[in-house]
Amino acid sequence: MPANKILVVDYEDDIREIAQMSLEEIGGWQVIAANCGAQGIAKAEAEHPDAILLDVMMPEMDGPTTVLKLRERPATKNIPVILLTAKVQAMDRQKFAALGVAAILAKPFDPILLPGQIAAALGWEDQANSASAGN
Amino acid sequence: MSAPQTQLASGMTDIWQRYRPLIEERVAQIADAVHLLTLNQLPSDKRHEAGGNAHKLAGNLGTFGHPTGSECARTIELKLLADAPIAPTEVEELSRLAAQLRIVIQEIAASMDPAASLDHA
Repeated sequence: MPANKILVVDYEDDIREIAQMSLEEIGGWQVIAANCGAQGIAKAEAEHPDAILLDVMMPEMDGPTTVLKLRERPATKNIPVILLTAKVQAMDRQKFAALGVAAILAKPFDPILLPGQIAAALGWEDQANSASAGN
Repeated sequence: MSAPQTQLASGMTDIWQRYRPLIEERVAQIADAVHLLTLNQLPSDKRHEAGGNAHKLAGNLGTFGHPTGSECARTIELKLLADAPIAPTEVEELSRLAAQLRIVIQEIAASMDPAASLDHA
């Protein structure tokens, strides 16, 4: 079975690199990356990832706006999205949940645990890389 | 530690070393803003910039293994980005937290790469 493919969209270069490494090394998934909402939408249309891990606070096009634009496009409207956010206010989280995302994960994240959190949200537990079984 | 975890830890050290100057720059900008605040001379654009930097640090210091650093940065973020004047007692707290952030950077550096942390001490 081919590895799941996940698109990581984050404006912060260090966090994007850590997330990518975490999902590749611990999750055993194929990862593609984008540094802004517009690039994320373009890569989602071109690469058809199985899921998108999307930062909330980005300049120009934030995460929620990116979700809405993904939903407008036939090629991307059904791709599950997981939001990643450092915002902790309950009101913000309610607003994000109303977008119909698969999960809302908190920043900072633990790079060892992140793939498991994503797998749990997407029902990918059975497809997880055996490399992460010892965690 | 499993092989993937070892690989991840090695990669994290590399990322930390490459991004440490940027993280230190953000901490310094916050410290400068808080200093101006103690003088009652902090312009709103610098306050907003420092709040944004604190938000970024809140999102990543914990990922580098220092959750208290993220909590510290988050407290700074909430105070600086609030639409309210900052009370004198809060200024004192912000000064303490800004100083704490510098210590956090040293602690992360020591855990990631003890030799490199000595270089910056």
